[in-house]
Amino acid sequence: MSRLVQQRRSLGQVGWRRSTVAALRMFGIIFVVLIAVGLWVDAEENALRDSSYSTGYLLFGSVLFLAAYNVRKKVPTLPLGSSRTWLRWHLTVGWIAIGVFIAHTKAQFPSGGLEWMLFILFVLTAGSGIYGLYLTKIVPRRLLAIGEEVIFEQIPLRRRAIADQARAITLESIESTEVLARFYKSRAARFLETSREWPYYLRPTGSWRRELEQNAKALDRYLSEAQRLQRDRLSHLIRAKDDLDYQYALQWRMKSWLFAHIGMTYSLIIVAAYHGLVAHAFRGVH
Amino acid sequence: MSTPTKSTTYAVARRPSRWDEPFCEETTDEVVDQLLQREPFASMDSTRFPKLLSLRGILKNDARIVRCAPGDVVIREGDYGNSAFMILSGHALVCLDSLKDRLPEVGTPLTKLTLVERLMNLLSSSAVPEYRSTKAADKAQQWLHHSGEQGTRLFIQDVPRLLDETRTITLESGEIFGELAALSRSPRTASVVALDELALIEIRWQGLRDLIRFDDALKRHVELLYRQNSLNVHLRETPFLNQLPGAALQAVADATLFESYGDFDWHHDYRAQRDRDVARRVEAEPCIAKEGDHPNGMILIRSGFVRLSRKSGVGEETIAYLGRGHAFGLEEHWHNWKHLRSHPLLHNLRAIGYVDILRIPTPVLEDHVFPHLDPTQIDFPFETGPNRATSQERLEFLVDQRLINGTQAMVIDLDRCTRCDDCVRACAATHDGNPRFVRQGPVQEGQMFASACMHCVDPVCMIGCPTGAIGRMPDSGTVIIRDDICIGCSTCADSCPYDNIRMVEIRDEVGRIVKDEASGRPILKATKCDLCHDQPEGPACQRSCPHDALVRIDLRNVKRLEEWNSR
Repeated sequence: MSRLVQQRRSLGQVGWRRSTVAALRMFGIIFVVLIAVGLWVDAEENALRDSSYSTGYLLFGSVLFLAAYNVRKKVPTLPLGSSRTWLRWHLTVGWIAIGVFIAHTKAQFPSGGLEWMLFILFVLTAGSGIYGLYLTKIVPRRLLAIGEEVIFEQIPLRRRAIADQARAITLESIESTEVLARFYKSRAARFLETSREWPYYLRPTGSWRRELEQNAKALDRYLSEAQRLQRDRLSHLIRAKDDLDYQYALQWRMKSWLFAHIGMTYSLIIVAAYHGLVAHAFRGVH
Repeated sequence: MSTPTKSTTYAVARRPSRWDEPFCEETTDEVVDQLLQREPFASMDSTRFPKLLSLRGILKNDARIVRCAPGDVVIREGDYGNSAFMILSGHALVCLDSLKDRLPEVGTPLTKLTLVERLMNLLSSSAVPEYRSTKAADKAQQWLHHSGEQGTRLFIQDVPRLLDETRTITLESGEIFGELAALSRSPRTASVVALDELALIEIRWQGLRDLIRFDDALKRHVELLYRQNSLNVHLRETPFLNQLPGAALQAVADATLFESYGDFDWHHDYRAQRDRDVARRVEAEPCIAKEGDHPNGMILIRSGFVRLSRKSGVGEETIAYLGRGHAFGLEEHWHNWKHLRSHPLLHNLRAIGYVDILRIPTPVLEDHVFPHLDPTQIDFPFETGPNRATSQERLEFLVDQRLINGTQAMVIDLDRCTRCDDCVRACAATHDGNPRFVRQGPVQEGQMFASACMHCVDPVCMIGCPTGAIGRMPDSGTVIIRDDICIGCSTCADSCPYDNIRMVEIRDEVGRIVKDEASGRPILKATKCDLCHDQPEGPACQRSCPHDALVRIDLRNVKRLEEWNSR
């Protein structure tokens, strides 16, 4: 085995060890804290005290801490620690909050309207957080697999440029054949000149691109060698537009997810605070 | 070479030549005649200069007359320059003490912002992009002396006080200064200020190089200066020479030869040719030593970078890149001396950009170095050195893209980056709402080398800044631009081979573009990453990445990059 391969393998092992230790540490903290919460709830119940107030405060405090991460992002110049550390604790406290939520609700569905609203908001916020965690693992790899990196805000400009090039090729082809122009007008124009429908952003697929490429390829029987080159350029642009749409869909999903997650967190805080007030106002009234 | 066929058509153009753009149009034949009457040019033997590089041609095209008023700063300590000066009339002061109290210092402010200042900055952040206070523009004028066609210079108001309070040496007519920094692309070691009405001849480095090449007296003078000031220090810093007894080291110093390879203005060619076929570009790099040749002295890299390569197929495979302090040819010389053999060189050595080398002749090595050398001290950087810890593809990429120049390159791991742009937003928040980098750049093995200032080892952006607005911070080496004395000439942005400096139009508090009163054109400022030098916690981009996908890293040591990859 070459020294270079050995060096890279040993570096890879060091990295794997580090990430495994970090993950184990996080799971250890979550485990210990949740055991402690369980024992605490048990002690409260054994002492005939209502554990809902303790777990409620703990849960509300956790949600405030989780929301504080967004505040940290807004003030990067203040000495509040690195975003990486914050994310690590955000995930740790997030998992703990789910455990505390189960303890707080005693693993039962709520009864009142306000409680139902709060229940749904928490489930959606936590669920969107878990979905976000999943996205952060898969989206970077999918974006990398596309090849070319394009900044989200520049994608519309790039789409415009592709559409302009496609039109130019089509106009150029009219001098010798109308086949490509007919294809462009009847099939390719809508794909190249418009944005995708919203279902595509939820579940992007390459079926439209594949269909267009097949249709374009089928035109070769009507085209000369030179015209086939023009068709080839058009097919290349169709692929480029599809890649851009795919990039846009993935990046849009990352941004939309975060927007929704933060929006629901703030709603959760407001409703939870109101819930706390109501709970205290009617404390002892059954 | 292929012969053009009848069907091939060509456009005809005159091949560009070196003196298409003279240093200064005002250097007329009359001025050259006057210069040729003066020393040292009068003593130079013009017959030793080739026809295409005549002494008259060099003076006419590579020199210009500069006039300074009393107090004008001719060169400033810490600045990078590409020309040397000779006094024609008047006197100049070389300041042996730093002038940091009297001039805008390179790299100020040196203090980090306090928590209160950072809070205030956050609260007072402008909604207008590239907003500048007009007060800051007024403040800049206190440092600057605008002298018409001679351009803009820094100046010191109270020269008599300078003489009283600072240790100085007075230079007079006929004396030369600034030549070492110009030839070795190192920072100026002292400031020089005009004492009275001063007339100078400024010679750009290309002309100076040719004068040295064809005039032995000038060559001896420049070499003597380097031997007196820097050579022993450099040799002492070289690992396998630092154990030599004093007499042996002196013998090495006395016999060491100086050589330069490559183009001083490599950044211009690089920008023009970076899309050219890589194999052709490698072939075009000047060959300092050739694989298979007999070793002819050990080479020490004094400044710049070299590519170590060996033949592979019809091209060359890069083995490593070497920089300042590295040696080449030691292994072969040692082997030949130890075993009384004549083993040829194992690798090619090619100049990447502009390279200064020191060559220690073989007999000197054998007589004065090897008898004192412990074989375990011999470090073969290309066999065991840090940049062998990466893949061949990555090594070639880093060298071809000249990224090895970066000491603080921004690398983004695209396998982890979610494209959330938190890094860009953090950069903007730290710079009054204006991001100082673009999250785009060349990608290799899933890593993006983003368009952010790399704070290069060889900062070509600093060459030619007329006001010294761009400079290195003395403690950290961070390259920063003093916004208040930047006159928006674009010299730095045009020189940056990586397009990492951007010129921006500045705006007033209500968002109107600020225009120059005289010309009516928008006032520009050069902007780039300053590595958040005033933030105690370091670069905001790196700290703001939630996924540990962004790092600022020294690419001279690629092993660190590999370690980061495997985190």
